Amino acid sequence: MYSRKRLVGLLMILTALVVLVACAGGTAPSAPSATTAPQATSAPQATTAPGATSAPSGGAVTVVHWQHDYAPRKKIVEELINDFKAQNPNITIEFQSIPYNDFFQKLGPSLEAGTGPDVFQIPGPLVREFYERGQLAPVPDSVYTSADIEKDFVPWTVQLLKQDGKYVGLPTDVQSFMIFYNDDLFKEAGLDPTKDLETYDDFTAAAVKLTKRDGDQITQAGIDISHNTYQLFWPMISTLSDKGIVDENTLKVTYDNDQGYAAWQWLTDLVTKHKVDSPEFLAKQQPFELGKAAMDAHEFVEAGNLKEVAPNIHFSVHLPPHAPGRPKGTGGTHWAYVVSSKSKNPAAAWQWVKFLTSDAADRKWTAGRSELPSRTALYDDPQLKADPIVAQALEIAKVTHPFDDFGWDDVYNIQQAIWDNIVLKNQDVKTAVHEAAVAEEKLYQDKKLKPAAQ
Amino acid sequence: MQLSLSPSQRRALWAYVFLAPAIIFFIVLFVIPVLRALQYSFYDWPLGVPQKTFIGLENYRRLFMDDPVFLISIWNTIRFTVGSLVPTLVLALGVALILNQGLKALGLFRTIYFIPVVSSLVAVGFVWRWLLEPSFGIVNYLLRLIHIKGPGWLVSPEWALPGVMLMTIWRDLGFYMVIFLAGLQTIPREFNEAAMVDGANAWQRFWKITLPLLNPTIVFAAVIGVINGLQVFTSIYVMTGGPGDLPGGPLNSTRPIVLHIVEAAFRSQNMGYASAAAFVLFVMILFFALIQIRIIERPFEY
Amino acid sequence: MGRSDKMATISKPTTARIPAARTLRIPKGVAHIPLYIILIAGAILMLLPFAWMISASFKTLAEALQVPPQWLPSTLSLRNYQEVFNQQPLFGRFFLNSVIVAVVTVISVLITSSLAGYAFAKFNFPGKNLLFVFFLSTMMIPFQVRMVPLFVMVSDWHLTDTYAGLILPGLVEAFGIFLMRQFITSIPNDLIDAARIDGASEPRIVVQILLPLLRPALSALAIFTLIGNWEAFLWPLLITNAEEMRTLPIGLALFAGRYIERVDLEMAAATIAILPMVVVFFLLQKRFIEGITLSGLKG
Repeated sequence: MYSRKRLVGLLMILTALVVLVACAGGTAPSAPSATTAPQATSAPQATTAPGATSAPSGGAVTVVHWQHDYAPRKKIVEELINDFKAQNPNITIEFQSIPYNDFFQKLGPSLEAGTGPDVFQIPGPLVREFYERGQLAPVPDSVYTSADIEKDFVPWTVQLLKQDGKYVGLPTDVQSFMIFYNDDLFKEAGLDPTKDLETYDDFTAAAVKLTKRDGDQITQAGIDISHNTYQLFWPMISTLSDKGIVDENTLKVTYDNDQGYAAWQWLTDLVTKHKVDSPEFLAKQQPFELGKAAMDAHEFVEAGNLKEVAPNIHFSVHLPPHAPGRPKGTGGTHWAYVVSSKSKNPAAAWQWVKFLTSDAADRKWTAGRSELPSRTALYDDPQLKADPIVAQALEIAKVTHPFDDFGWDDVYNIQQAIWDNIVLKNQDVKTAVHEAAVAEEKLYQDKKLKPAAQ
Repeated sequence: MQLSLSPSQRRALWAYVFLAPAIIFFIVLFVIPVLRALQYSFYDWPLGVPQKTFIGLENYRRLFMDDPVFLISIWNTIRFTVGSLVPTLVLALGVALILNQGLKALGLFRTIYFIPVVSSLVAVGFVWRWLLEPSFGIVNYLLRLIHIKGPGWLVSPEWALPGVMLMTIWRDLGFYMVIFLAGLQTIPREFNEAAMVDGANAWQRFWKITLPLLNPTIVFAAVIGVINGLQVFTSIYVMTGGPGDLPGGPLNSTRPIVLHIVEAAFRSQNMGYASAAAFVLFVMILFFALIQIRIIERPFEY
Repeated sequence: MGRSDKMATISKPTTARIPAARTLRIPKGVAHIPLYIILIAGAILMLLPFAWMISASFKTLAEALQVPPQWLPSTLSLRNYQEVFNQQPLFGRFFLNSVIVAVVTVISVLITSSLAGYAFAKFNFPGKNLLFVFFLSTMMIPFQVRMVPLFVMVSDWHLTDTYAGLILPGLVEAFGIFLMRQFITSIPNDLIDAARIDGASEPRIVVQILLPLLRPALSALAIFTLIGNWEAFLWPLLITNAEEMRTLPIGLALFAGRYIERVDLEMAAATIAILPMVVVFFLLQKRFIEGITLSGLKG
């Protein structure tokens, strides 16, 4: 029958099983937890006092580096790690490559658990909110002074990285937006693909000429604008005002006015009035790469992609048209390498970041047409200029303004809604733009951003 | 030493023994984290930052009063769940019934219907984005053959969610088919045999015998379907996202609640707000699931 | 929830066998044709996307993005499959990790679900309904919410980059408990009551009576658990830093980048990932066909 002993024994076995399973070590050894450095001289909290951050003498230090996964970049990082190790034998870099789409889902919990990286990447526009949340450690002067940073790097690539008078990031993955012309289709339509289409009107006229139709159905889009429209509206609004898209002090947008309405009117007219493209034409595909669109707005990296994806397309890169009364220019984005305020070795981490953005490294980064140089010196580099596309792109990069909204996909959502509301829902331009302006300003309030103290 | 327990008390104790591992597991790995998440929801709690500010019900207030997109996402999620689950269950039951007839090559057919369930959503998402492409994709091509102008699917605010529903029905059918198959298998054969002897035709047999006896299985499928449906995320993410694309579009027409949660938690690093949204979702799911069990679960009648 | 116990009052108490339901007695050939047609039409719909997927796995990236889509690849080269392993040299290891985690999880879930499901279906005890709702509710919190506190907890236990850390959250599934409860509910009570009267202990009842009857349900649960596990992405992503501890879905996600999606490689990797699941399903589902045979049991 049921003796107490049997029941108790059973319960004990069950509990033991659960405990065993819970604590069983796997067959793989646990990876050493990040940043255990006995002799590091680092302050654990946010802003590190200058004196305390000299590089540790003797004693091995580990710096954990998280990067988005992208095969060519992964290789470059691995090479750079080896080079760095040769020069800094007491610093070991632990490198982890994380799928791009899931980067933040891994970063957040790890920061919370204290197992996060020392060095990671964030988009330039997000630096401000990360900094104001206290998540970033600034560059110590012992590693890189502000004066030197401003001397070495192209101004628009570090503009967003200065917070409270200190630099909290160094640039990487520099991309200017440019218009790609399909040279063959241009020539076919009697247009000259070597010249930039400078005014809104010229651009529209050319786009109309480059559009082909079969009855009602588009067979060739003058410009692929309805897919990833941000690639043209970001540069468009970035160049409307000298203050950029957002005034960093008042946190008010600069496009909620006649000039902004006119710009958006031009953009949306391409589809609603002149029908040079349709949202339903090769939706969510890449018409330019398929040779079905004569123009495409894109980040510079597309120049590298095209080699792989559509090697038969002859293309050239150009500035987008500018608003009446505005100088030539375009917008651009970049990411930043930053150091976590929870890092136990911020000085070593920044040493690594400095290396990652050095001249030698920048040469590697820019070699495969995957990004533009962040360092001024490389803009005159003959090796880079030997590639005609890169030479064109460098000229474009010189007149680039940073996409300076203080957000990334959240502002993208708001601004994309302008396009969608006008094109898909027939809303009038002024209402759509104004609603977005209100939403964007509210977003900054919700993020509790503080006006810049420059 | 003997315990002087009545047989029913003894049995109750055995029940607890059987339940013990699960109870311990859920308390440690569920209750504790969930309570912590509940705690988060009353704070302004950026991840990894030492300062966390108590703000009481502010997150909840903001969700309902100040965040129209959240309310839209609730509506989308409900629409999605009903719109994909109902056709899926009906079709899955149909297929299960057919496959239960003792036809040839059953194993092959069952496997084929099941393959979509186990395929990688990333890959499936890519293929379906193609299938639903308005100008060249197969779906609109077929519609054109019968003189219907297909909609813009994933780029149309009205048709994007139905597009995702289509993919979901295609994918989940095999899942529920397996459940219904197992359920059909546990129905004693002689019920149907006796009915046949009594002269009942296939239709009557289905309604009077099979369906009622399948009730626990149907309840299960429906409840699981609702629980999973309301938590939809990856399907919508892969179908509406993609290089350069924003998931949840166009114009928030496909945005599900969980996307809102994920973005708040990990992009904006507003863990408090995200947890509040999650608890709203939890209450919703609990409500719908319990109602379903109450309404659908029926006693057997003989 | 004890209402379904009314099943105990069915007629025909003389037989305790519960074989698979078979319903057709009319001439098979004729009646089956429309069914076959429907099945085949459905099968084509089910397989269409995979036809494309497999075909794309043999194409170059440019070919794969062709418009209008070509169904047949120009060459049948395995270059993409090789390139998957080139770009992700540990792909095979990802595969192995997924297998290890899946197997252990399935075993644990089958055991815990059967026991707990049995308790809910055939026992009465205080707090039963409350406990059931509690278990059910564990399925209702999206993982992303539990994720951060859970991760902090498990990291504190130093289980990062271990198989234990990977497996832990999956050991018990409320889904499985619910499933088993529903199936066990359909088992007539007299079977169990008879065994109890005969003096069998509860563990014995579970092993000798319940388990054989539950084969279809267990197979189904094994399959579901396997799927859930095979596809699990978030938790393995969080809990593993070392590349060699990663699982298959993470490997797959690495082909969907920011500016460009390597569709050709994605399709090859996806084809590799799906094969074991298909094989397992094909093997396991024969158990459905075999049905439940309970020779030797008396009512």
